[in-house]
Amino acid sequence: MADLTTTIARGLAAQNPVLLASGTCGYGRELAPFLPLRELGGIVTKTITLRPRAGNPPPRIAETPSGMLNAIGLQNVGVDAFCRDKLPYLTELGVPLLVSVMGHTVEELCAVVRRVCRERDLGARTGFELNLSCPNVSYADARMFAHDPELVAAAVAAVRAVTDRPVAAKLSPEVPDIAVHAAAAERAGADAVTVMNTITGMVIDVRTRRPVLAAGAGGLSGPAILPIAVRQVFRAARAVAVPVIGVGGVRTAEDALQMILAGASAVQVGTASFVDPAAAIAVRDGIAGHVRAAGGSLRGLIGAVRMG
Amino acid sequence: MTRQLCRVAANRVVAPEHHVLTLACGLGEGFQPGQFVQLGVEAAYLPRPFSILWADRRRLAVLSRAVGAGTRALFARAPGQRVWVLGPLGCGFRHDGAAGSILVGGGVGVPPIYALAARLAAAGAAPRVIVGARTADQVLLRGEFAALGVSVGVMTDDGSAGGRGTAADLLAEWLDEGGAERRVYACGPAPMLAAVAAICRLRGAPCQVAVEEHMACGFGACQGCAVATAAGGYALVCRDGPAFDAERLAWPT
Repeated sequence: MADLTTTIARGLAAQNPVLLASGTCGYGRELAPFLPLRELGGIVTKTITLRPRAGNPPPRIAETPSGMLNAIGLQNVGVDAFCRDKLPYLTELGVPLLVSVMGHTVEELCAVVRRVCRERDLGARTGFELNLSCPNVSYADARMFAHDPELVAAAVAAVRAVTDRPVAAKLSPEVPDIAVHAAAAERAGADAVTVMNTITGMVIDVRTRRPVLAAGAGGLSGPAILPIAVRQVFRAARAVAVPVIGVGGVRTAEDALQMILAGASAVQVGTASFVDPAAAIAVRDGIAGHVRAAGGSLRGLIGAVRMG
Repeated sequence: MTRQLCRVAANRVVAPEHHVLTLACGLGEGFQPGQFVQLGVEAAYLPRPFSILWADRRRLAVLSRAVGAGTRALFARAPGQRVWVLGPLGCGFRHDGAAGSILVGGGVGVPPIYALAARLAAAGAAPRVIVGARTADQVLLRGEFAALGVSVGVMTDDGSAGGRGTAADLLAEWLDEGGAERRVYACGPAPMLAAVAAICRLRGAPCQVAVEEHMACGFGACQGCAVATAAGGYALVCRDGPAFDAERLAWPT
């Protein structure tokens, strides 16, 4: 058996590097009919906020060349219902769990984290992914934490002060140099950086002359953004010592291996699960085959891209 | 449940731009009318949801219209070529197999109505059916409904077949005649469903509607296919529907 073990975040080991990405696997259970969740490297939940959010009006989805736009609007059950109804199932799975959390302010973000940490049966392998870069909350105000390295640092430091559990900071590609933001997150105490979130996009229906999405714009995901994500992972991985979790357009094992060679210690499979809900397991199997054929271990491939 | 790559067994044009695509696929056996499958071809990134028209142990058929690049690529598939299939997904119409139903299908909303009519007819509870279309050449499955032995009322926007007007107009007439059929099941364009829901609400007739919305995954993970509910907030078409009690949804006023 190929050695696929890796470290997702400081203090959080995984049996393999393939995780389900936030916002593409619901609260885990939604994917259970289609793949063995316990065989994954980990799960990142739908983003949780302090209060329940109804989300955006439809249409929320638009197909694009080699991808899709979404503007779900962070529909979620809120942290109380999450802890009561969703968390026990997820922690029971025994694989690393990153609870994706978001707040409009640092205080709100910390309140969500504190609430989750109050749970007695949180499990030994539960941490957080800070969604500092969701583009879907308000396009009238396009600012997000992830645009400003000081805000990234402030958010990470504040969360660091309220939990000892692993914390990954999810960054936006819509910055001049993601290395700056990754380094800021690490200095503030992040145990990993997740690179990257979706890229803002827009699709217009030429017959109605209106945007297809009710929210106007949304986040672009799918194979269209893979090369961007690989490059962003490459930049970030050279700027930090903590693990980089690569995400963006991964559909096949080869896509995932590109990210790993660029420096990712783990990858998240997102939109690909919408096309084939068992995609993440196929990616894992493909990586295993590659590692076996190459000899050695997964760890030996991390950041092993040959430049020049 | 696993996505399967299935051969096209037949591809038949049943109206301009409308195809019945039959797949060599056993996944649909035992489906509930109103449930759907996700069908995928390489030309489009995302699969597309289609109500199941009929299915047995070896075959599964859908009926829809080639409108965009994705559906055109799908309905260009010739026998022997292959299509990805995932399903059956979602919650279909709830029925107890008893008599007393009126089924209303408009445009490409007719397939799940046919599936339900076939199920009810097989249970000895043949419903009355209303089929609406824009023009005579787009009236779907008339012969197939007749073969089930159900009575079909046809309505077209221009009166080129059946009555002139909407399927909802004829539904109101039928309900007002005071017949034994009071339970309504409908699928069709959003304005038709809104009219059907309003007609049923006014007359105290129980009504279920199958709705559609832009969808990515089809199994509740992406939360893309939101439909507003009367209680506020949203339900998901793929997971909570596509068939809903009309009273559960928020209708434009």
